[in-house]
Amino acid sequence: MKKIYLISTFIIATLVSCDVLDVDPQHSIPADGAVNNRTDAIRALNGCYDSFQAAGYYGRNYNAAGDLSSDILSWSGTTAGYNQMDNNSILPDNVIVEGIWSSIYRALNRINSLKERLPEVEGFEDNEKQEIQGELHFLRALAHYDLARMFGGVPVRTSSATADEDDLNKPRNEVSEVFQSVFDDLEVARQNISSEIIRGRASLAAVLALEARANLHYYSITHEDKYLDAALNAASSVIDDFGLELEQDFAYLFSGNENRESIFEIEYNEQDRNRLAEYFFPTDISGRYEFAPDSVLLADFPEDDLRFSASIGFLDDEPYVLKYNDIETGTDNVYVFRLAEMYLIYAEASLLKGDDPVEIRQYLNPIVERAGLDEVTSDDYEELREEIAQQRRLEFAFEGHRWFDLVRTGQALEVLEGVTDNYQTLFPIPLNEILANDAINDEDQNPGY
Amino acid sequence: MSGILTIIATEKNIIVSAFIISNWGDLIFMQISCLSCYEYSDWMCKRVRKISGIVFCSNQTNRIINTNQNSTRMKKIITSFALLVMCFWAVNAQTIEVTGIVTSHMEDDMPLPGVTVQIKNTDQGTITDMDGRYNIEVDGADTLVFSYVGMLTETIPVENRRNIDVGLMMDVASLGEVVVVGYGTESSRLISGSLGVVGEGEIRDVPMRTLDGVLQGRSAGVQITQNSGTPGAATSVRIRGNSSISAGNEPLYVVDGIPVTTGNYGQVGFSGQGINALSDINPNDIESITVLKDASAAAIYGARATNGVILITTKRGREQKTQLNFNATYGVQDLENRLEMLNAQQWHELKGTSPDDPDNVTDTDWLDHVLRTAPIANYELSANGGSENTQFFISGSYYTQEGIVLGTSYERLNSRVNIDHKVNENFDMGASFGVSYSLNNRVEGDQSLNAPLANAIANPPIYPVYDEDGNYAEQAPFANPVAIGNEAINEAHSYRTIGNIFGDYRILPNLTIGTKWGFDYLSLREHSYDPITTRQGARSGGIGLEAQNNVLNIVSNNTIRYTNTFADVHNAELLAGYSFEIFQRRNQFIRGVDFPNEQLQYLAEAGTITDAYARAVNRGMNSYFGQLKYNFDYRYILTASARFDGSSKFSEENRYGFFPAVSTAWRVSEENFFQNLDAPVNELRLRASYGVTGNDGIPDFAYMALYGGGSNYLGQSGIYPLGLANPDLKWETTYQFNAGFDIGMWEDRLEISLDYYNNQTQDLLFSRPISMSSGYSSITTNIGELENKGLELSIKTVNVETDDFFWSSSFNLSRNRNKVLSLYKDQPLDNIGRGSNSVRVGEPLGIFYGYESYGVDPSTGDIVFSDERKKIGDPNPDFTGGFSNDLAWRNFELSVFLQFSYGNDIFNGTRVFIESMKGNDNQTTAVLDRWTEPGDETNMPRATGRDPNNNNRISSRFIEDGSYLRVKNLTLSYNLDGNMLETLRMRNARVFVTAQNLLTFTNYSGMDPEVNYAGDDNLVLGTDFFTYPQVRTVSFGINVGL
Repeated sequence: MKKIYLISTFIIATLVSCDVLDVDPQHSIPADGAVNNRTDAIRALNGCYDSFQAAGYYGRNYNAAGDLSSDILSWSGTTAGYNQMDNNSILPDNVIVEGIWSSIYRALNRINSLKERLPEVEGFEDNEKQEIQGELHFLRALAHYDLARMFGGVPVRTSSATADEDDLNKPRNEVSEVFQSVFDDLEVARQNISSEIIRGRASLAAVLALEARANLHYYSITHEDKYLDAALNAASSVIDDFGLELEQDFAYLFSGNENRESIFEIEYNEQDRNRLAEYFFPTDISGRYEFAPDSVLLADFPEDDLRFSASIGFLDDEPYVLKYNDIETGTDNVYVFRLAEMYLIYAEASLLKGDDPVEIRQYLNPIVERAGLDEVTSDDYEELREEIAQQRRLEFAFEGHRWFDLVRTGQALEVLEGVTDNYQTLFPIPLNEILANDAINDEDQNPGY
Repeated sequence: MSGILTIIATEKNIIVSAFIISNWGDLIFMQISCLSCYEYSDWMCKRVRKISGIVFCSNQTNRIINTNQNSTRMKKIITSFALLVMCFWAVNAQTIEVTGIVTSHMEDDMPLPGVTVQIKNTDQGTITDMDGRYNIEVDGADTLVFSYVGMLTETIPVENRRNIDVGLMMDVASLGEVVVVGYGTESSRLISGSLGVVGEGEIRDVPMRTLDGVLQGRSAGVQITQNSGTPGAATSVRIRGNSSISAGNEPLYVVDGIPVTTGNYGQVGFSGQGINALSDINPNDIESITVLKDASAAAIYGARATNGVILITTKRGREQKTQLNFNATYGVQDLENRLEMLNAQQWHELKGTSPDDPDNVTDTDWLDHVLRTAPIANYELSANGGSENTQFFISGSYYTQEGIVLGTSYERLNSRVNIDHKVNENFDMGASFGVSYSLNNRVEGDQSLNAPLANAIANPPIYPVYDEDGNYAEQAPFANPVAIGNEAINEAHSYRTIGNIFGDYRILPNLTIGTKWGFDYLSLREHSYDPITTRQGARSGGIGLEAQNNVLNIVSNNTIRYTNTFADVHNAELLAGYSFEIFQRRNQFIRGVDFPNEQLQYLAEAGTITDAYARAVNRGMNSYFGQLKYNFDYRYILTASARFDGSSKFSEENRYGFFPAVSTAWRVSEENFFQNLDAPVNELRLRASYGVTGNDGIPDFAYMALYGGGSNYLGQSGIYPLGLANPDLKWETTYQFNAGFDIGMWEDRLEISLDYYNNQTQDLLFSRPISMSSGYSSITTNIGELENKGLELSIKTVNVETDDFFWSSSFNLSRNRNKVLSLYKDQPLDNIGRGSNSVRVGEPLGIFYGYESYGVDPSTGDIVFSDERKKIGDPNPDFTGGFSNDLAWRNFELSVFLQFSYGNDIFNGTRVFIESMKGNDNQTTAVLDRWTEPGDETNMPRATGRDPNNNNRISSRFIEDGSYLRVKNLTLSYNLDGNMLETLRMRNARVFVTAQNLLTFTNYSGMDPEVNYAGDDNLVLGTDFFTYPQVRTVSFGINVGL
């Protein structure tokens, strides 16, 4: 009998084991069946927006890089990568820069993956599918533009990655090609995207805002007037056509409440939080004080400017950034575009075209006046140019614009102590990209690095 | 001197034997002569020699002269002879006469003269004659016992038979101690593979929390790095080097035949200093540890054998009157080496500042507030005993340790019950259960900005610990470490049950089937709370975390084993088996903030839940294996094994891997020609093995293209592509060659083993970095090759052995050369970890790669760096090893264990901050030598807030020699002797003082040279980053046996 029992045990053991290897992932779904219906597509779109929340992108480092590299922020913490940005002496192995690069490309891949699957998906209501298509094109344009203004020519990604070698290893495109891709995507986005502004989502106003910004930028490279015209048209359309208006209380923009000035912002909430305030706040009030307002900015910021107290706080004598202030739950949203920028883009483009100073001042002064400053009356183009630059600097302090403005306007060498050579105006292609990408070699690195 | 002369007369023979025994009881001369027959005495003489290994034996005179002081063995021989002699007298006729021949199975059925044939439970018996014949008068119901020195005793019921022929088997015990090997045991002298054994003797006394700590330095080829002194934290164990870049490098741990869950299942992040699942096993429950190092030993574990296998055998009961053992140790721990930081005045000088109030300067020694002398204790009671049919081992223990860093401690309760039961002659069954609970109070580690030790090092002295009101002050740049240590709660509760039940049934005398079912259940509950009195907690009105991880592993092993000896010299054992494993993990995590009161620390009171998730992993493994062990006359040994493993980590096409191995050994010392050499060598064995092992240590489902969730936005759920699929993914394969020899001289007073190995790993499971512009950072591939070649030497000696003085030594030395042979297009991996470890073809894994520092330019005070980054150091040691000495004098015992590592570099990442002379970190006193004006010749660059030259970039400036020699353990003990024990009614009693890490000799400037902040990483090697150093422990203890 015992033999029978034991032999049965053997048999049972064998039977039990048959499906031991037959296990499925519990938290993921095979990619083939992942985006089948409308709900899936909406979730995958959320996944695309989610990638813009990354700490390497709008969640912190992209904007911080723009301010640290300029005269807006200085490094006051412990992370060496930020120190290099502050000094404008970035090494190619800088992990912060690598994080920015990889975060933006992660976003691009998510966008392309959904874009390729979307045509097959059915069950949408009304124009929903086109609108999603439009959002994807906008997000892709934004990501490519953000890469181009930081690194120069970069690989343009318009399809999702496969394990195919040629697909993995894309060379750097020319800056012009990147911009062309941005403009192409914006064109498609403009035709498809919804014009309804929903907080945290891209809409037609965001498309036009990026058009304005990118065209003004591309003018500085090409000096072709058509880009100025495009910037002017786009900016004025945003200002006029969407019911947006400047929020009269500047501080209200950073209160966390919904406002009438916001064109597109990256949304955070308690479950989906960032660590911006933590990085900006002094240690006494539980921050890590990685960044502090630059002493040059403090010196140049008029005390009676209403934006000063909305942007900078003091703990004893220690200045700190106030624009991101929810240290408790990290829900501060990050502006990608707000209306004030359209005014200043319009003013700048108008100035570059040589328009009547009245026209220029008409777009500059609402910003100046909201700040509680005396309106600008000058007719002098050089004075106006300086005033626009100064207003951009103060208006968007800690919002990640300054470095790109200085580079775009060719002022970086002149203004920034740490920039002594033109090569410093582009960030280095991350070392690990050069190591892993067969199509980008040492000689393709931005010169100087 | 004393002599014994015995004359034995039987009808046919007269035997004369003579012994001369020294004053110490040692046999120094023995003569056997047989008056009627020369051959008989010659044969006996040889036999004695064979069994005892006595080296001088002259056939002409039939004399055995002992030069060996091994008195116990000699006494045994005399006893055997005496028994033999006794039996000559005991010929006594009874009812029936049984006759027969007793032969040896070992030597061509050679008749065995002189075998004692005894009637069971009587003193009646006889002895076989020249031709192995015997005759004896017995009762038909009697049982005969055939015994002979060096042979296994046979017990045979007469059952009224008139003729009983018996073949005696060699007693394998004379082939050395029995050691545990994969799916069985083996005599140490019949082993053809490479393995290391650590016995109970080396385990006791050491108040170590984990068994990997016990193993350190004890076995050649096993490199164990403690990584940090964090109580309860993981160590890294490497057997013969790192064999993989992206897959696991830790060995497989098998407890009582069942693979157990190891690794870190903590969810509250403590990078590199995770919880060690092995620490749930009480080292004092362990009988022995066998480390399977080469393919022949390990390949039976197939797909998980590449990194070696550590077999742990727990203590089992014995048939004896129950013995109780009580052990207790109590000790204190402190830090051997502290960093010298700047005081307030030096800090002000460095920064060019001055104190606010010169009369009342704050000068805080932060380290003083955070470091402490901490107690450690262990109490343990065990019982061991049983009857003929049932034996048990029961133990219970309590271990408690406070950390030397404020806020850290570790406590553990263990119990174990091991039972063996013989149901009947053919059926054995048993069970083993270990149950434990541990509580690990942790603090955030190295990498965190909320780590007490790191913050205590980095906070400048000019800030106070407390404000005027006595509350924690938070003016310092880093969160107040005293507040964190005292107020923050980080508990990890581990509930663990490891058990198995087994049955073995002998279907035929030579054929046994066995089944063993094991389970390993680990439940880890983490509770963390940062109250508003800490900086981190204040940020969010208190932060609470609750995490739960349940890990279940079920293993079924089913084997059939056939053992037989053919034609007396062909000894064979055949094993076939089938095994499967089911692994399930379920974990949950919740985080909440905004607590109404710091007394309320559970999430029910949290104002906002900021994170909550639950996850699941299922995994399966299916295996078929077989093994043949064969030896010819215990001289020529062959072992072959093979295993098929199927794992759910691979696609159906690549699901099964095949892992064969073969090994052979030749016991030269068993050859006649060798025995005639009269060399002082009692054992000489040559070994060689070759085999294939696998590694599947990668995340699940890497072969599939997947979409994952969690990428939420605007409060809605989101999904995204997880990574690139590689459907071709398969096992990583290592081809292992091993050759070595073992030599024992002067009766094993000198034992030397030397092994050479060459392990070639192919199809590396390699998380290959891909162009980040694809949107992914890596893809799991089978690309690349690397090799580990090495030499392992171990030497054991008995230096002095007299009646009241004994001294033995054991030394081991390992040299491993790791080299990356190929990578994907030979692209290097770079910039890994804080010390910029790198993987490059032609170099060992994890070399340091950065700028070479040529020193400080006296004119500028900046460091002159090489233009290009280059290899600036190697964290892999040239040699590692251990050296232990055990001395006994009368009742005293002293053991000293030294452990060393030579030739490894450390990247001192702490200095990147505390010698940066910028930022907010306090600095070491080394910066007092900084460059201050042109012309200064110094190694320390200028102090500059901006550091435009990036003086503290990753460079050879921070590379240091990490070689060390450490007095790992020193124990002095006293054994109470006879009279005292009797008075106390104790079986034995021992008191001891023991010290761990008593002294460390090193040039390393950090706190501890045995360091790695990311101990759980394959490629981040030899890097210090504010890491919790190991402690020095001095303990007092007693062992009492009743």
